[in-house]
Amino acid sequence: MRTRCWIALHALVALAPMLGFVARRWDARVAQVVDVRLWGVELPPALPSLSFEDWQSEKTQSAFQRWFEARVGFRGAMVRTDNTIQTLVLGDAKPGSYVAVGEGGVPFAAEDFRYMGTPRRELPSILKRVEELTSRLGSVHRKLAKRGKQLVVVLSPSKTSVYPEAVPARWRRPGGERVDLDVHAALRAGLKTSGVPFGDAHALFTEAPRSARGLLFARGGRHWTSVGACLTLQAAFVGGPSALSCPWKPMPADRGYHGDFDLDCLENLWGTDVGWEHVPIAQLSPPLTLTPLPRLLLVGTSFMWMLADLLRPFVDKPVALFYNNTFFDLAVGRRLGTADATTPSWAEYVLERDLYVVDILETFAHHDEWLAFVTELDRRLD
Amino acid sequence: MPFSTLLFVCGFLPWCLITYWLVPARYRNWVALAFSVAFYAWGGPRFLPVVLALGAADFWLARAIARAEGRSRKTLLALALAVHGGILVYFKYSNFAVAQLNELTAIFAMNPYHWVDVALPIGISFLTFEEVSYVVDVYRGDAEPAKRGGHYLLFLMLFPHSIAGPIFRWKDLASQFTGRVTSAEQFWASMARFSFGLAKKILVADSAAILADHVFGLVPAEVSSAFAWAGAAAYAVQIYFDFSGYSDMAIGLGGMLGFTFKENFREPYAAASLAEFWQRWHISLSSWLRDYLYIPLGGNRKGNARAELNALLVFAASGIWHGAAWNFLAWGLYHGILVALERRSEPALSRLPKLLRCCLTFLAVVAGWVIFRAKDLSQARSMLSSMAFMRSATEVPTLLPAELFPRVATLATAGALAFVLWRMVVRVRDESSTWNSPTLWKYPAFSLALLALTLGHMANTKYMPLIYFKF
Repeated sequence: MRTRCWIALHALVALAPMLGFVARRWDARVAQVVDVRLWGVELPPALPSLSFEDWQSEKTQSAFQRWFEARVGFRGAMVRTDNTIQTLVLGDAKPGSYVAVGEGGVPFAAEDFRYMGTPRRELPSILKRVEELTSRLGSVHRKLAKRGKQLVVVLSPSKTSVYPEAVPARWRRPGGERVDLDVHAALRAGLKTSGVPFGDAHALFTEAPRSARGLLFARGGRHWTSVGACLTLQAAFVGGPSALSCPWKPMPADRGYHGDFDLDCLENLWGTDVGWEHVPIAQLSPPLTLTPLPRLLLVGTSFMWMLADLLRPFVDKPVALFYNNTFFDLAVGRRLGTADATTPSWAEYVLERDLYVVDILETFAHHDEWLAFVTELDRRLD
Repeated sequence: MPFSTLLFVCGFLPWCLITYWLVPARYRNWVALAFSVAFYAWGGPRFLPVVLALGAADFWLARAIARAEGRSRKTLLALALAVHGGILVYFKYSNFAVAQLNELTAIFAMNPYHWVDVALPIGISFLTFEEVSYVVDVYRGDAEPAKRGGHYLLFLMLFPHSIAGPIFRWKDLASQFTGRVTSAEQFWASMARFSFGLAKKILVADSAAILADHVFGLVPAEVSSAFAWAGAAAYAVQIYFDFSGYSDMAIGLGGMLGFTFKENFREPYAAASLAEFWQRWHISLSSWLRDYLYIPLGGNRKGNARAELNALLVFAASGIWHGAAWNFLAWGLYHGILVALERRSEPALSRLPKLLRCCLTFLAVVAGWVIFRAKDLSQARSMLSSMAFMRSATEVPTLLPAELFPRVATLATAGALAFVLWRMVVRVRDESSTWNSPTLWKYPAFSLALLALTLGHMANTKYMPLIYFKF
């Protein structure tokens, strides 16, 4: 009898995902694709179509497997349990995960750790690209100024620059060398030499009192807070820290997801109740008084969405260019299309602008996207 | 549909077992066959007709061999061997042969030979060996030919073993196609065995694979001696827990369907010599090579020198069976040469403490895995020289320490190595001691927790294919 009970228990554990699948008790959240606690940034795959050719080439099988395994019952519970065990027992996120666990449980994007730990042998090529980028930005700035237009650069920070003490030793280069500081210094120096107005979040946030860091860059977030973005934007427009002021007020947070604790959510752990009902939302102060309202092009990474929220009241027909590959209409929040410099829409969205705000995330400053965009713009302004 | 996927464990397997045990006993072979054909049609639909045709041909040929007399018996056997040998060579070695030919044509500035790569049918190496053993055993009179085509087809296609072994022989399984009786205890032990094998594959092998892949992915200038040893040890853990875990799953699955399969691994890393290692590692392949190649070549009946040559040929065949690449051949020859040297040095080696012999054997096996795992002979040479000469790396690795040695991978590798060492110590004290995973059924709560943990880990990680699928 005992044997049969153990057989039944094992069978129940093995069958639970299937039973949950059949009963559509996937996770009670599968239908809510926006729930990043379960899905991260991935959309659940669609049910594959069945054709003889796809079956023969095994495409159907692998697609069906992905579809089924994304929907097995209690998947969210299984994922969270596994992550919680790994994090609590090993103090580590699963290998290859987007999120890495820092000291004191501070979550980081692993790509920031990799940037901070860039081998020194790669520094010369990075510095060369940074120099080229800042020099091109200077050229664009001068050409735009001649046309009565404005270029502003915003340097958004890697989380490792804001919370360096939370970077674990095993995510650092032996000897503690930090190439990222050299890159940041080169970016600043290059922008200064080129005469481009810029706000530098790395400098602002590291100079701020430690007690204020959470307000600038939330402990559980991937990006800066509204306040951090606001102060950096003001620094870009009005100069030094003495002129900075960003009054903020707490606004209701979406309990499922918010940028100030998105990494906490992405960790997918049991017991991570961020418990934030409100997040600080800032306003530019003094407000930008640009007349007539400038037509804005915002270029950059996901850090720029916070900038978009701050700038929206003061600009006209705002457009965003995400990673130099996709245009978005910021006024209505929809995708406009792929960025292709050979098309008329590129000229419309890029050349017919009055204000250019370029967000450069220090982690990716040497990547192709920014240099490619600035080089093309420089050429088209001739 | 590999065993280590949620689709198999939570989808295919429950349906198969429920159907199998609900139908009357006389229909169970048909249910097992239907699910086995469906299983193969899922994983290798293009080759299903090839497998079915070969099965039908064997069934007919074996019966013809049993009936024939004199030279026609030999002719039929030669025909069967030629068909199987030809098919294996075509599917497994033609791409490699053409690539080598084109390297030669390049040297002589000739036009390359145009060739469309042939896809490898899943499980073809295992199926071919099973089919060859069937017709040879019938020819030798060691086995009766199958009386029913369905039984023979089930023997070939039974899903627990059809795609990555163990390599079965008809004479061992023939009696199990009728009158199988399964008790609740046997079913339970098989279930626990499957859970344990799944855990070995998912929790240990796949974790160690991360470390091994990282080290073998480094450029030579980044590989210090410590990294090379860590990578080699991780791969030793990966391949053992991967393949023995798969074998545990296969044996457990067979048991749940009422079959009793032979063991395929017996603590190989606790062996005190390479010869012993090969009696404990992938036993179904080693014994197949012994019975159908080594002994027909003359075995050790024709003197020491001939026995060593025979062993070398068998190991070379074993190497090339694993894959059409020079490093597999080199790995086979490496073992063949070491086994010959070991044989000659037996008097001296036997004077060493047994634990030391176990450790030396393990180190020799680990070094061999480097040849096996390397992407080519150049990488194998570079890794082995790093391991041998205590070299420091000339370049900083691109990967950070946390990426190169993730804690889960490091812990799995270190834990598995500690287990291997512990088993060596125990076996030195008591040679009869065996630690067999079937005993896990005695600890049901542990088995249950292991199954739940494993399923959770599977839901949270990317699927990693079994190493032996590609062979």
